[in-house]
Amino acid sequence: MFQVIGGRSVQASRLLAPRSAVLVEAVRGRKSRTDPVAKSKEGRIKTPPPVDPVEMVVLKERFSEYQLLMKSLRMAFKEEVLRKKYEEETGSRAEERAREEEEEHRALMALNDQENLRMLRLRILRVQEQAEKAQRKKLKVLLKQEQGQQKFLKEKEKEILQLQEDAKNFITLENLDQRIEEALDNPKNYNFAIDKEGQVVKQTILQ
Amino acid sequence: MAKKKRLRLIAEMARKIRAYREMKSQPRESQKYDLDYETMRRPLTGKMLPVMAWQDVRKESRLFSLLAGMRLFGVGRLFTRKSWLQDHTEPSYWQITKVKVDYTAENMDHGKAWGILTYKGKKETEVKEMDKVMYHDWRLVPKHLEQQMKDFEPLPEPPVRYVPYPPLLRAMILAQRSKAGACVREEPTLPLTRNVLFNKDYFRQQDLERQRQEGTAV
Repeated sequence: MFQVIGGRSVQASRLLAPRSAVLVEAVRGRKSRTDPVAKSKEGRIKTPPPVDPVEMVVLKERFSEYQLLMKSLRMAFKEEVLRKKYEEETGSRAEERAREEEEEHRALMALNDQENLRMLRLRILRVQEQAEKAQRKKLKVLLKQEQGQQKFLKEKEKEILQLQEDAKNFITLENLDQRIEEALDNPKNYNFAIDKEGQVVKQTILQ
Repeated sequence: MAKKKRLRLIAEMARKIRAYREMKSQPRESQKYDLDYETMRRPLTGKMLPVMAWQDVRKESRLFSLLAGMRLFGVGRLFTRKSWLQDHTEPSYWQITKVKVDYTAENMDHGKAWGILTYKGKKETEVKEMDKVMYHDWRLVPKHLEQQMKDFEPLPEPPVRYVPYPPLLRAMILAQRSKAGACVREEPTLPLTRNVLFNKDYFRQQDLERQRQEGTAV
């Protein structure tokens, strides 16, 4: 209910003669404004403190002067702040700054466009080169494939020719009798000897 | 996304009805400002009037106590307050334009009134609701004194006083000025004003005045 004060919210009279050791002030703490008045305070009539008229006049004059000064100081500071804001928004510097900013923006945009064009051209060249490379590769691969195929074909042809040539010497049903007679007539001697020097000696007699 | 709120129309209607009933069941002016002159209490709240007002309450009368006995409820007449008469030398008065009486009062003793205020000789232009109508403070201005009150010309406002700044602030201002490059020899003075509305017009006016003083650059 009572709050200890430090400084600003104290009236002048209370500062000069505090009855308690600590400066206290009545503050609505425990009870709210709708709570009923305490029974001990039922018949209480609150009288304001007595006022000395001479002192009152003097104090009023001094306070009014003081308050006028303080208010005008505060207004001066407020004016300064608002003036700065006003200058920023609608001052002579503001238009120049706006123009400068716009020009800067335009210049930067132009630069950006230039850069974009340059990069576009480079990109186009690069893309073209890559396309050509890819094309060449593809052609090479195709060529290789064709070459491979042709090689294969050739080998196969060679084999066929070889076979054809061999087929002339084959033993068929017609040649069978002839060949048997030939084989019987010409006995072949497959025996031979070989020494360490590699000399072949065919001296064994067929029996 | 939250679930869609259910439209509680009946609850809405009930709320409106409750608010209307509350508005209608508020105590009337006569009940609110009724006063027991023996104990100086308001019967509605049980609160006591402040002690300094007791003398005035016993001697003076409320505005509507005066209006109740007048033709047309005093529309068009001038009314002063005793506190104004005591505090200010310049006449201040309300000219009544519209009266709304509380018909539930016994002697038509309470209500609301509207009028044009002339405070300390300065007449306002708009009709406003009169405040402190229930105060025991009002006095009727008799007809032969009305013209006297209306004739009063308020003194022109005294010219703005200029006061030297406190020393530290003055030093700061001079330093700022020297940095900005303006003339340093002029003593900075603070104009003592109470109410200045700072808007764009104010600053434009200031700029124009400055230009006029300095002269536009060639």
